[in-house]
Amino acid sequence: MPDLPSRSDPAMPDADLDRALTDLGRRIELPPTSDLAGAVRARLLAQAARRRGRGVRSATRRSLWRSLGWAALALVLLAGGLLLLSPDARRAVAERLGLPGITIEHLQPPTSAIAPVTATPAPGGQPAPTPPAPPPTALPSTPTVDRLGLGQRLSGLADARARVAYSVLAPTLPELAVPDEVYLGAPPAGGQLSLVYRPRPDLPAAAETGVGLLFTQFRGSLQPEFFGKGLPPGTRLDEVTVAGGPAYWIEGRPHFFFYRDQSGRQTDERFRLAANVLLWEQGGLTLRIEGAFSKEQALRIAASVR
Amino acid sequence: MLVGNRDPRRGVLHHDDRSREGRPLEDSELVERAQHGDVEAYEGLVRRYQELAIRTAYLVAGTAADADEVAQEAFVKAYYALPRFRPGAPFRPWLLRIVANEARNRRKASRRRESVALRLQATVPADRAAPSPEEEILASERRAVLLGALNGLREEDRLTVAYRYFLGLSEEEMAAVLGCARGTVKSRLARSLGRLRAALTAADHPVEPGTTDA
Repeated sequence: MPDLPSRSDPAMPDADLDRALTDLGRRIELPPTSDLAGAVRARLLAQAARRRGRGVRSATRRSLWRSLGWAALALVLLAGGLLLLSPDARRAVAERLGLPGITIEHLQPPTSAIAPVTATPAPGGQPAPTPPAPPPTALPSTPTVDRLGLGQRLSGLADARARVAYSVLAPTLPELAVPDEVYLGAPPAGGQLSLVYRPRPDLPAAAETGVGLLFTQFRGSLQPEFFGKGLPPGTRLDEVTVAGGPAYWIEGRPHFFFYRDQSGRQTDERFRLAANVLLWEQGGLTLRIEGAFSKEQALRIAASVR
Repeated sequence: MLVGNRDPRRGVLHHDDRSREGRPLEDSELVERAQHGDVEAYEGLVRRYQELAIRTAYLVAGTAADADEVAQEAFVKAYYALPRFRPGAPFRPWLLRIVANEARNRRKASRRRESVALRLQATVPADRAAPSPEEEILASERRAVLLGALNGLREEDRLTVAYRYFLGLSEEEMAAVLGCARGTVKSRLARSLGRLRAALTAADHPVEPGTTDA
């Protein structure tokens, strides 16, 4: 056991202090190590895809693409369940779905050959039965509302209505009449409102967000590529119908959810893993609800939104 | 044993001879492959250094809350900066400079002023020597005094000591994280240790032996 110098000896020899600090170093608390490799890879692939889509090139990106090849990356799912496989579309992993403000990408490990994409949008809006979601994987971040980056906290819905230029929508189910917390964030242009409902018996906490239900809305037309989603294999994407229009239900393995920073720079996209999500457009707004609930529950909540 | 990640005895005070060992060569191979677009090679570098990156981010940012995000961001930025990476240069200090910059920016953006408060692990590794309970109590009291003195130092001194002893950074890596010239690392560490020693001496006076509260 290394000793500090005796208390009567103020001049501590270097070797003793060195030993004592080394001993301390074995016992000091340091944060646990998360595996970042998957998240870093997903971001590199997604950024390469977007940059290529915009014709921005550099030696690194070109060679990234060469090594991965389109085969390694993705199939593109379009609204309506059609796979559009023009040569360009094959090479692009990203394709905007029919909702303003949302980009959805399928990510596939480069080691696997082209495989059928697990998400199968069913024609006619009645999707195939969905497999039960596996237990949440260990996530690289501690879920708290703070970390979701929702913006500034408001006092409530009335406050929210006073602050945005659009007509604020909210679930009208009695149990969801009053959100527990309301946030206003920007970007996107025009502001994004987030209604947070704490976990409760019928709305269990989602491992990815720590909340029972997260309901967000923004004017997607103002910033068409604000949000993106990267779907790994094992995540299902179903086309459904909400408010008479197309909607997308994403469930299964947690998927990546990203948004851009204030300057819109791509390199500062922030990623997090998302729980089950329903996306749709209503009243000129792009709407999103996220939680650990089932598709049926999500559709019931969505149908109540006014 | 000079190559272990957690071996705090390598580096500054004991001459850094890692640059002639095998691991940096592997790093350089991975870097070269990553520079040619091999994302899997880059993932290898991420896995190898994520622990160090997260810990560095924690110390620089002053909180564990953002450490994962900061490290992730730094790895992404480092990937895009690879074309500017000098062939043959060591990867670790280059990466740690990016991590430290990212952590400082994040801290600035969040306007957080308080710096990291170092703590002991809740469960400590057992000593091989298996000291008597009395010795263990005495030792933990001494550790508490040392930690208290360290936490009482200015942030710059506290971090300098932590980089060296808790992260086991080399001289070059410390220079990268501290943002100073490599030649000044040794004297900075000596100054910080001197202040720590002075703090220990000051803490010593009013307290009778054996009465320090852990």
